[in-house]
Amino acid sequence: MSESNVALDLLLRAVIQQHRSNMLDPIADKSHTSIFTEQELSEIVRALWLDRYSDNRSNFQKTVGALITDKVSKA
Amino acid sequence: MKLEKLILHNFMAYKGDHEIDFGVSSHSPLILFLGENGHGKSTIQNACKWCLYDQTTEMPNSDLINRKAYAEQPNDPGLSMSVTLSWADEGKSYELFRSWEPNGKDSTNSHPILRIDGGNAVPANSVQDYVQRFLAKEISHFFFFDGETQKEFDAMATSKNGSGSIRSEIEKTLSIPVISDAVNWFKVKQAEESDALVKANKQNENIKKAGLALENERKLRNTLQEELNDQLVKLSEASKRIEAVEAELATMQESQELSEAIAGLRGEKTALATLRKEKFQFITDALSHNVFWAPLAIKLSAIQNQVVSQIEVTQKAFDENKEIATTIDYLHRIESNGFCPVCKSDHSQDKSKFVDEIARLRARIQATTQSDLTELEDKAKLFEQFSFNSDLYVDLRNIQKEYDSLGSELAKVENKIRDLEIKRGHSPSQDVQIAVSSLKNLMDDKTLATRNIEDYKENLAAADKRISKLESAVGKEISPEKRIAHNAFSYLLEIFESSKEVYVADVREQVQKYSSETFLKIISDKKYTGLRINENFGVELVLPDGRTDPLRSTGQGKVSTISLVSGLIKTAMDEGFILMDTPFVSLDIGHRAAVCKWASESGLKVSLFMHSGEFVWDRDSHYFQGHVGKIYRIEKIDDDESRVTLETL
Repeated sequence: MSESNVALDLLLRAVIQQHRSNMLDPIADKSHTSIFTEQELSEIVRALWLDRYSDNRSNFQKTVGALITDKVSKA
Repeated sequence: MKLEKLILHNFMAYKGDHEIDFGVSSHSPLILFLGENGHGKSTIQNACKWCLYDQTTEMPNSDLINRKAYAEQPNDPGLSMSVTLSWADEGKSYELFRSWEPNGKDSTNSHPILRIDGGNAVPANSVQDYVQRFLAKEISHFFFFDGETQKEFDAMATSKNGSGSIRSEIEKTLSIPVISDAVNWFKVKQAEESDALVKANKQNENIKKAGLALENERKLRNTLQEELNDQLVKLSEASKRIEAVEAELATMQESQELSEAIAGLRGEKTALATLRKEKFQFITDALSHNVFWAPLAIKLSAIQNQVVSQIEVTQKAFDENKEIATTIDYLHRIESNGFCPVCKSDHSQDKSKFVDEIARLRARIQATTQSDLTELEDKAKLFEQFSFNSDLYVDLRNIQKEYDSLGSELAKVENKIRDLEIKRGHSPSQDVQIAVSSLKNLMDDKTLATRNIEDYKENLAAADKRISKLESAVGKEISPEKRIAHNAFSYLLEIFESSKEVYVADVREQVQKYSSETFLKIISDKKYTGLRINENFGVELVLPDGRTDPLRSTGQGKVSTISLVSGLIKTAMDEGFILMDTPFVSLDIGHRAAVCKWASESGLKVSLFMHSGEFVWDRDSHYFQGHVGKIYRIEKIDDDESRVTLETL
């Protein structure tokens, strides 16, 4: 299954645009909105997409876990 | 995903090996499978499903194996049934081989083997995961489209409210539940992190308390240390003062001893002085009475001594003369008589001897007379008349000597006294009793300080233990950075939750767009401008003015179904494929032609399975406008055998 298809692109677009909207929102909590970059969010969406038919979605969870762990360790 | 090849071996009607190559050009993407009812068209899809999912038509494997092949060698351990499906995706080739051996070790289950790029087989328990990634079973409904059994689709398509089960499958195709699952997972993780934060906050609170307690303990410790230091100073001072007092006491003892010695010496000095004074008095008295002969005392004393000595000599000489005379007399008598008058011994023969002796004795007689003696005695009497007492003079001289000696001794004693006084120095300002009392007090102070020091040391050790414990508790504080995990999950939850709605709307719109495009290509009634797919994935026909019409005919429903499926596949898959079995059920010729045309231009890899009632090549091939890449003819040899043959175009 290709990683790039219309549905995936739509999901990516929805997430990124929501993120951008949050970034521009003056009352949004910056401690939240600044955690992930667009690239990281894309990575999460793609990992979810790749795992969409798996039973436990472990790869997606590992991807998210690794990203967050990295941020915690760098903090 | 691109199907490449399908190989059947003893699968259902297909005895032996039968290969189908799905490779076609993008210009001619259509594959037609032509065969009459019951010849084995549907078996192709069933084979794909059995290979992928180990499941088809709810028939056991024993009913799937080709009956003829089984009948020929029912006990052959090598007898098997298998299907191999190959596909490509993102530059990799996949080959899934599933087999079942009726006489094998495990005749209950079939056995899948998946190889990627011709490599080693992936673990058997991960085959299903791979298959799910490419062709999930839940949505296989759409890729293996069966026109004869799409009743639910029809129901959905004709119902404004959609169909619950189909809607679920559509949503799965579009991965909408996946987003919901992700949202739920973020919620769970957020809750976990919240719990962790609550615990951490509580821990931090405890740590803060511990921090305050630590601060207080440290202050207490400092105070204890200061007080200990004070006590140490006191101890040191007490020790020094004790040392000083003890030294003082020692000095006082020494001083006392010196004082006693000095007193003794002073006593001695007094005695010497008194005695010297007596001597001086004696001398003074003696000199005052006998002053006149004092200057001649030495000479007079010498003369007196001489006189006395002469008297002694003269007296002795006189006495000796008398004795000699007596002896001479005796010897004369012997000489005269010729015998000893005493012992009457005869000496008549040795008279000469006596004569010689008498001469000798006479020679010894000294010229001393009584008058000499008397003269000397008179001289001696003169000294008495002058009261000259040489003894007294000797005494006086001795006394003078004694006086002088006493003077020397006195001087020595005075020197000793002076030395001792210098050595003794100043007298202590306090006497021994006061010093001893002071010493006792100091010893008490020292004991108290020592005890206090021990107490303080104990308290310090206890404080150190408490501090150490608190320091380790304080050290475990959760730093604010740990909140990042909570915030991260919170944000992902927020963003996916809000994105889901947007996505669902967008993807439905996209499906609607693709479906409408397909619908408009197929539907013959041109009064409609497209399809509207509502939130429940129910389908309506859109009129030019924007109003909608429900589906009113079976044909509209079928076209809508095909359009929806097409829209879904185009939206959800890249390089999607669809195997449509009996796609033209309920469709008239016009719509069939439209479907054929659409299939040619859809961009999907469409394989159509049709019987002669649906399609006749000579009559209907032009509908495909030359976009047919392959035609497979499926023919029944007998009840237990079919074959599939690639026809030359």
